[in-house]
Order: sequence, then structure tokens, then C-alpha cells
Amino acid sequence: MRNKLFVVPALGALLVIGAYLMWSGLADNTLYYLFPDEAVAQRADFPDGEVFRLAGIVVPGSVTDDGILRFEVTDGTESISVSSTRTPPELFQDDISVLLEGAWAGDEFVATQIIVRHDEQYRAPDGYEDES
Amino acid sequence: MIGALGQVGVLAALAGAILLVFEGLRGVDARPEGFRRGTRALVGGAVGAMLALELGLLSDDFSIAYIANNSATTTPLVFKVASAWAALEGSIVLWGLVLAGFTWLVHRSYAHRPDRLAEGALAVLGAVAVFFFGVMATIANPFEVCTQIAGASCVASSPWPWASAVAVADGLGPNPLLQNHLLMAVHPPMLYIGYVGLTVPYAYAMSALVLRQPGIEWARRTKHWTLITWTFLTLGILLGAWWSYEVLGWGGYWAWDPVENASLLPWLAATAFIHSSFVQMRRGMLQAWNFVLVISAFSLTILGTFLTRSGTIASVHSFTQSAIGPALLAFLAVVLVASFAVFALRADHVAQSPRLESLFSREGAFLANNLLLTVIAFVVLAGTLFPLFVEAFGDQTVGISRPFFDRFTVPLGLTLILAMGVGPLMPYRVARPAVVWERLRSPVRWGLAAGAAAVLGGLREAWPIITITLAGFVASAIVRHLIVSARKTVGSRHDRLGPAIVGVLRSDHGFWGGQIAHLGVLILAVGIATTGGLSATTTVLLERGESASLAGYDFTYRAGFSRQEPNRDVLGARIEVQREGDFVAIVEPRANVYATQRVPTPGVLSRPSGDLYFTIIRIGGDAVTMDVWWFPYQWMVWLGGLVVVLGGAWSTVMRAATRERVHA
Repeated sequence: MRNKLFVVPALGALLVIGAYLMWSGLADNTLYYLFPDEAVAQRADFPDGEVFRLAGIVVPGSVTDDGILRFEVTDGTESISVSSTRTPPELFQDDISVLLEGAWAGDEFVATQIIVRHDEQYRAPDGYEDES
Repeated sequence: MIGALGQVGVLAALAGAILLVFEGLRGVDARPEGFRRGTRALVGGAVGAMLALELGLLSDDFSIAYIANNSATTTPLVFKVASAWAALEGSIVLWGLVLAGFTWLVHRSYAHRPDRLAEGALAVLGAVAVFFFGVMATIANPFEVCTQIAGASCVASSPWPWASAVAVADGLGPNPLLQNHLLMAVHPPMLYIGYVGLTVPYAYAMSALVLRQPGIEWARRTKHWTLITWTFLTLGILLGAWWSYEVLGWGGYWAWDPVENASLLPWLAATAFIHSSFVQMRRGMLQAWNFVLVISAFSLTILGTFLTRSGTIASVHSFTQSAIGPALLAFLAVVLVASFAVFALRADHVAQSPRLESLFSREGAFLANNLLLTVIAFVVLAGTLFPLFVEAFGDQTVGISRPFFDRFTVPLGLTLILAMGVGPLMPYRVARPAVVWERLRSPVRWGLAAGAAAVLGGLREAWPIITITLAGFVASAIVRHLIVSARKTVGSRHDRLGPAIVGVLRSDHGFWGGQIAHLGVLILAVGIATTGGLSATTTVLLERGESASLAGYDFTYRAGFSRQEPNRDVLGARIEVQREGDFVAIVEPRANVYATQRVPTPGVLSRPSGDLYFTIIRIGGDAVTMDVWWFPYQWMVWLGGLVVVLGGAWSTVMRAATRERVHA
């Protein structure tokens, strides 16, 4: 082609711009998965409103629901108060493993999504089906 | 007994695969009967292994650990059959069977001539089969005997068929997500045919390199293999998306989940290869690039298998952790190193491509197509692997959220659609702007008219408007091209335009199959834009008799219901949907309670203007909480995907028909 001298730097520049865009895209859309102890330790890195995912076990006896659902999640070392206006899924209960998406609001984690994690070997407690 | 039969099958297939490799290594001294025996053993063994697995499943032989843990006496028949590929070890049996089937087809086309290219390909297929049947014989043995049970599941097993077996009473049953919809019986085989089929062009490419026969012969021979494979891969991905929509109930069909990405990546590489191989066959260009694409497509299928089968990434597809992860990773490394080493060693035999005379030409458009598909593949790959790197090099667990993928793939995809409209109208070598403009003028007008109509119809979102404009442009370019081509034959070969159009579609079936696929992509793109850009959602808590509304539809919770089925209990809500006071339909979203977990089945009301989609979050007594979505023109996603598949099938089927006419 006629302008080989021009093509090489142009391609190089495109590559650099593309790589930069991709990298910043990845960085902007990285969603962190934290356990309560990590969330507490890295509180400064996640200011109020910064979305991350929090995984833990629902502390038995901590669940209250007066229009706003409140409970605590723990990983055994730290526990965090959670509030949410979402309706929790049916399996949500004491001592179950949950994955929450949301952000800090002061000392509280406001969850916009509550997912109950069940592994393949999970068995529903007896009598569970009677609920309806 | 059945287990022992299966083990014999696996070993026979392994022996056949080894024989193929050995015969290939003999080079010029290779004997046709060696390849015949190897292929027979491979196919016979693979069929035997699969039959044994199915027999065991159908007869509830719970002395086999895999069957105890993945099937149950109460599992419905069709899911018993499908359980053969519902978990890790069984899915590798299916993989091996499909690979054996492709090897058999390649051997049939080999026809016992001293055809060294096919001999080399058979040897490469054999080498790949050695890995998969080797895995089946060792670390992921589907026929291991259950030696210890705990509760309902088998917790320890032995590979030796003479080990004393214990059997559970009823079996654990397949993962509930996998027995919730009939699609589970079809989606994996389709996807596997697509995945494994990519081994054939790879095998021919490696054979061509090793034998110093680059050039167009291998591309010419693999063209149809790639096309058939690609058609199945497309169908497999489409069925997967449909399954996700109909079964998972999260409110969508594509989540950029690593597993979805794993199936998309080889598809992107195969799509790029189908396009660039035209340029290679027509103009002798892009030879080196085509080797890179074929090696990439095959490697990406192995990478995809690693991602989905190793438990590295959590998802519905990742089965429990096993030793197969490292084995697949090692195999991937071997494939990459060996392939690119051979490629580098033979680089001086790969012919220098003729010069690209002008970027403004058909070749230039193909180049743009390949560049865009490659960049999209890179973006998807980066988004898929980035979390793995972060985890490997840091202590953090991270995920890449959806906006990353959308931000890049939407503009790149739309640019690709633009190239799809302009490319086929450009002549090879050099296009004169005046000629191209003449062909573009009316499609451009139609495109602008489509965009304007959308705006007048009340559409205000930018991306859907751009998509509709581009789709209108490309669709009218395709239709115009078809009519112009058909008119030329009116008067000579046909009397009227209708038969002339069919005649054109049939005679140049390769090109028009591609254009049909392009039309499908356009429909799909509009569907993606409307369901993604114009959807609405709400969460409602309804007492019995209460109503809510979304997107002009009112829906009322009439009653809850429950019924017992052999393998599950079903709880459901009866929702009455109305529009402007008129009854539309009753929709029944359900929650299916299996022994091990609870799986929602969304209730979907499909109408020409869109889908109303209900998922139960919780149901109890007299109230139900549901997520409700409105997806405008959701059917376009499914129709578009099917038309893409149809395009691939058209090329393949019409080619077969033409050949028969020629031979008759």
C-alpha cells in the first residue's frame, strides 16, 4: 500500500487506545466479592454507595422484618448489619449462606439483591413443603 | 456388569485413538487398513461406552457411582437419558462420542486413497481422542463402582469393576436445574456437535502444516465441516439462551456469564474463519491468518471446557471440583504450544499472500469483518478471564459486571452490521465509489426511513433507533441484491420473479445461505436492542384478588395451586392478565420443589408486541411476591437466531442436493 509509514504508527496508536479503553472498562466494572471480615477491614476502600458483593451466613435470630428487612451476616469473625427493601427469596432463613449485592450506608450494608446460595447437596428441611 | 462393559468401550476407543496416532506417525508408510481399524475401534468403543451408560441409567444401576449421584428411580425417562450428559464424567462420554462420530465422517471422506492430508487429519483427531478417552479411563471415569454410600448419595468409588459394590436405594437425581426443562435433553448435544466439530478444521489445518501443504486445499475441504459445525454451535447457543430464559427465571436470556462466553468465543472465531476462508479460496489471501483462526477456535473450545468443567468459575454448568481442571489446562497448554510451534516451523511454507489492492473492496470488507469479530472476541475473553487473573495474583474475588460487555460489544456489533450491509455489495479487488454508491443509494434511504418510522412511532432511545436504522439499511441491501440478481434470469430461465428468486437462492446457495444468516443477525440485533433498551420491570407483592400493572397490562393474583409430581412438588400462582379491561390470558409461574433445592419456572406470556414475564420470589398462603418484566419484541431474538441457523442449514442442505443432482 502507498502509506506504509503511516499505517504502522496508526495501528499502534489504535492498539494503545483500545488496550487503554479495555483496561479502564475492566477496572470500572469490577465487582468485588467480600466476606464480612474483608468488608470491615477494607471499609475505607468502599465508600458509601460503592457497590460490592457481600457473602456470609445469616446470623440466627437476627432477622426482623417490619417493612424493611434487617439481619446480620457473618463469616465467623466479623458480622455486619444488613438492611434491604427487597423481598428475600423463599429459602432465606437463619443460618443460610447468602450472597448480597449492595453498598455501605454508614455502619449498615444496604442490599439491593439477596441471593440464597445452595450447593448441589443442599437438602430442604423436613416439612418445608407444608408451607403453602 | 454394565459398568464393566462401559470400561471396555472406553479402553477400546482409547486403543483405536492410539492406533490412529501411530498410523499417522508412520508417514508415507501409513496403511489404510490401520486407519480403518483405528476408526472402527474408536467409534465402536465410544458407542459402546455411551450405550452402557444409557443402559445403566435406564435400568437404575446404582452400583455405578455416576448413576447413583445423577439419576433417581423417580427421574422421568427423558431426563434419565439426558442424565448421561448432566454431569462431568458423563458429559465427557458425550464429547468422546461426538469426536468419534466426526472421526468416522472424516474417515469416510478419506476413501482409502493415498490421501496424506486426510491421514494427517485422522492422526490429529486420534491425538485429541487419546486425551479425552484417557481422561475417561483415569481421572473422570464415568463407570466407577460405588463402594461407600452416605445417605442418598455415593461418596466413594473405585475404578476396578471387581470392587464390591454397594448401591443406594433411589438415587440422588440430576441437578434440579437440569431436569426442569426438556431443553436440557437437546441443548448439550447440539452444543457439543458444534464444539467438537471444530476439531475437524483444526485437524486438517495441522495436517496441512505438518505435510507442508498449506494453500487452499485444506480450507476447501474443511469449508463444509466448518459450516455444519457452526450451524450446530449457533443452534446450541440459541437453545442455551432459551433455556436460560425459560428455566432460570432471572429475567433474561444472556447474562455474559462465563459459561455463555465460553460458547460464544469459539463461535466468534469460527464465524471469522468462515468469512476469511472465502478470501483465501477466492483470492489466496489471509492464509496465515486462517491458520491462526482455526487454532484459536479449537483452543477456545478447550478453554471453554476448562472454564465450565473445572469448577474454576461458579455457575450452573460447573460441576463439583475434580482433577479434570488441571488436566484440561495442561491439554490446552500442549495444544497451544504444539500448534503455534508447528505453525512457526512451517511459516516459510505458508505462501505470501497476494497484495491487498485496495481497502475499499470485498477483501477489505472481509478484513473489517475479521478485525471486528477478533476485537469482540478479545473483549469477551478479557472480561471472562480477568476475574481469574485477579484471583490468581491477588487475594480478591471479583466479577466483571454486565456494563463492561455491553459498552464494547454494542458499538462493535453495530459496526459489524454496517460492514455486513456494505461488504457484499463491493466487488473484489477494487471498488469504484460510483458503482458502490449506485448499489447503496436505495438501501440507505430504506434504512433512514426505518429509523424515522421508529422515531415517529414513539421510540426515543438512541441505541434501538440506530440498530433499527442499520437493520433496515442492511435488510434492504440484501433484498435489493436478491431482486436484481433474480431479474437478470427472468425471461431467460424463469418467467416470473417468484420462481426466479428461488432459482437464485438455490443456485448460489453458499452466498445466499450467508445472506439468510445475515438477515437473521439483523432480526436478532433488533430483538436484542428492544428487549435490552426498552424493557421494564417491577417487583410486586399481591394478595389474592389484588392487581398491579406493567407496560399497559394489568395482572391479578387469582389463586395459588400445588400438585405433586413423582420427582418434585410444584407450587404455582394463577395470574390473570388483562389489557384495557379485556381478558388476555392466565399465566402460571411456578416454583418447583425438588429434593435438593427449589427452582422457579417463570410464567411467560408471549405476544407480538412483547413478552410479559413473571418469576415467583416467594409464595405462601394467600400472597405471592413476583418479579415481573416486560420485554418488547422478545420473539425477534428467537426468530433471528433461528433464521441464522436456517442460513447455515440452507448452504449445507442445498449443497448436498446439488451434489446429488450432479451425481445422478
